[in-house]
Amino acid sequence: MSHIKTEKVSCAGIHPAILTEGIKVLSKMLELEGILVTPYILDWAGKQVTTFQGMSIVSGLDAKGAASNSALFPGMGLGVDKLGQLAIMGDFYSPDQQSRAEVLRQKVENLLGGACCLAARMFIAEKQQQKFSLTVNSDKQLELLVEI
Amino acid sequence: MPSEKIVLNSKGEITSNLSGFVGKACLKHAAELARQFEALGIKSEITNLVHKDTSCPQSVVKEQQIIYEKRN
Repeated sequence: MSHIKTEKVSCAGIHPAILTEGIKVLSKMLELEGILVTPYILDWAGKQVTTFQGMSIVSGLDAKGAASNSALFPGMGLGVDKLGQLAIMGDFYSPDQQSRAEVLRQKVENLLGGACCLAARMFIAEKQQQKFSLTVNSDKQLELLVEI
Repeated sequence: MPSEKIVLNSKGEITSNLSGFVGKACLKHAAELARQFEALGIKSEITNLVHKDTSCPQSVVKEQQIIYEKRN
């Protein structure tokens, strides 16, 4: 017997721990699209930044060069702020950097709800001691298999 | 053994495929999962379910789908 369901979720009000894991899941998805994912972003001088105003950067997207180099993107940092909401960090100075940041922000917004849903399902599986595996399928999609 | 396969595509859409459930057990499972999602802050509701095995004599659900979506 097989049952199919589709889900659309938003990230508003999501538990901070799930949001953190959701950021990791969405980073995996973006990595499959060829986007560089790092645990840091780069500042004006090109120094790696892993925390900003007390917030840890869960993932940095596309950190290619110092913010002072207008031809390179310094990375968009994703984290969870003290209110438990998504924090987007980065120094986007040039028009090209701002444009790239907007594209990445859109991708993050599109993916985060679904990524958090997947993260939540993994959390529930762990809590209920259900066996699960997370793999990448042939269509470059993330596939979570849970034995119930 | 019942299983659940959840796929996340590049558009951020989630598709779940529940296998191995008999009769209304899939609905019960989906409802319980929705409750647990809600506890984690993911608002969802069951609106539809597609039942692909029309030979199942215990099935009362034929052409519906489960859709989790934003409620607020």
